[in-house]
Amino acid sequence: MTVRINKPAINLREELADLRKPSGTAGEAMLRAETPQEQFNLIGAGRRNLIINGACNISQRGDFTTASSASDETYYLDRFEQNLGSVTANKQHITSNQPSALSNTKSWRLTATSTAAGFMGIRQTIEDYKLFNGREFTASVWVKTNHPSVRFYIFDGSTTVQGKKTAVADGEWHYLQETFTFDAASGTKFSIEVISLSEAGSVTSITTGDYIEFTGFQVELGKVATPFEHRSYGEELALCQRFYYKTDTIIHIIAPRYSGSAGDGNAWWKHPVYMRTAPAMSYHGTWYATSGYGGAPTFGNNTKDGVALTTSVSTTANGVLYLTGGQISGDAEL
Amino acid sequence: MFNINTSELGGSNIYCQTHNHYIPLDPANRHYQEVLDAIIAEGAACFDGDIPADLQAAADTKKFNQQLADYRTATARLAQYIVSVGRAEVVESQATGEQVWDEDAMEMVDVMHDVITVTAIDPVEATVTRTVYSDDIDAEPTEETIENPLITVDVAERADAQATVDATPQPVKDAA
Repeated sequence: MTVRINKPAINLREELADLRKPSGTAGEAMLRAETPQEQFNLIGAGRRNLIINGACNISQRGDFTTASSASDETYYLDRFEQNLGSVTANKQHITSNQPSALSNTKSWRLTATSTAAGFMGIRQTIEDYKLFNGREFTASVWVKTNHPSVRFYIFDGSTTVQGKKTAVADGEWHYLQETFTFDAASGTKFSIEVISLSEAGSVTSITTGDYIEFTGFQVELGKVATPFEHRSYGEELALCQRFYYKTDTIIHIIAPRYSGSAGDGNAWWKHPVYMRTAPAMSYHGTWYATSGYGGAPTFGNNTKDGVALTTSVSTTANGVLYLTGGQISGDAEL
Repeated sequence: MFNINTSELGGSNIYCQTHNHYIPLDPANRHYQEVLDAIIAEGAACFDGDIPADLQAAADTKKFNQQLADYRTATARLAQYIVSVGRAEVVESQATGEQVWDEDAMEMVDVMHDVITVTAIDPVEATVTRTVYSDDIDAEPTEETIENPLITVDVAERADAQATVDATPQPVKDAA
């Protein structure tokens, strides 16, 4: 028996026209990608920003919203170190009038308070420097300045690279981005700055009142500057605490004395996160030293995980003291 | 001013009286490195009591490594040509990789050719002439002849490098 099957007719011209997709260059690149990994890299997906606190929201060391004198090679805003050469400057944490493209950010400003040939900038040293060895990466930042030579400056432990692009010096927010390649695979650190510096990496003329304000600082692998990656406050704080933390006022730490003898009370204080290295510890504020309280703590054995605390007041064997009233900080910055 | 803080429970750290820091004996901590820098710069004057031997040894090692790095940088700078003198061309005879039969020696011998291994650089002009403008806008500009700034910078950098070499202790030079 013969069976005859009829299929609906198709219009070949219409089918071919459908194949002409309106894809642009980036779309074509995605189509050409051989693997999901390639597509991932093309769009810069995933955790991109290698800068911590790029939105300038975390300031554990203090409230710097009032302009005050800044010291060279000193941290105020979390993870950012001031770099001042031959000039003095005021620092200020700015909480309003950030770029409209960046919501929920703050910014940091350095304003020169002297006139000289020098440099003025703010730097972040990235812990995982090996990521950059022999790699292409892109830095981007929002900058407001009135100085004509504000650019990126990168140091890998032996080689310096100055950005060729400069921020527009008109006192308005502008987006600065530039792609760099570190050919050498021998870097021993990685720091990147937004700084007033000549293209040759030497000093520039800085005048009292010159300022640099930045926010939305991002460094990512690859040659594409993607939109600023916002992280939650809690996540950003935890990242900062790997390098520095400061507690709120301590309500009480219980510091008992062991049964062997009378003497100082002891306790083990656990850092809020696992730190980069054993931190330098400090106490701040006023600690109660009246009866039952331990006074200000001293710090003993110290690890990345925690530190031994000792009271400065003695108690009886099996006695208990409270460490109360002050704050504790740990500094493991690079 | 620093002192060693020893816990009753064992273990010790460095107490910085100036900044109220308890600094771990950990080379990865930047404050520890600052203690070493202070010992290098000030010696015992920065310490309340004796500097522990291991801390002094760490400071000595850091100083040695700093001097070694400075010495290597200085000698590399001195090895560069003097801009006022220039540099002569250096030609070396090198094997091409090809060999031919030498009937006299009865063996295969390398074919050689001359290769310029160091290119010649002419000395820069000893002096340059520049126009000097007066504060008086009615005055005519004058000309003055000065030492070529390239030579001035070269001489200064070489002098600095030589001073570094001269100040480097012999054990550091021996290790370079």
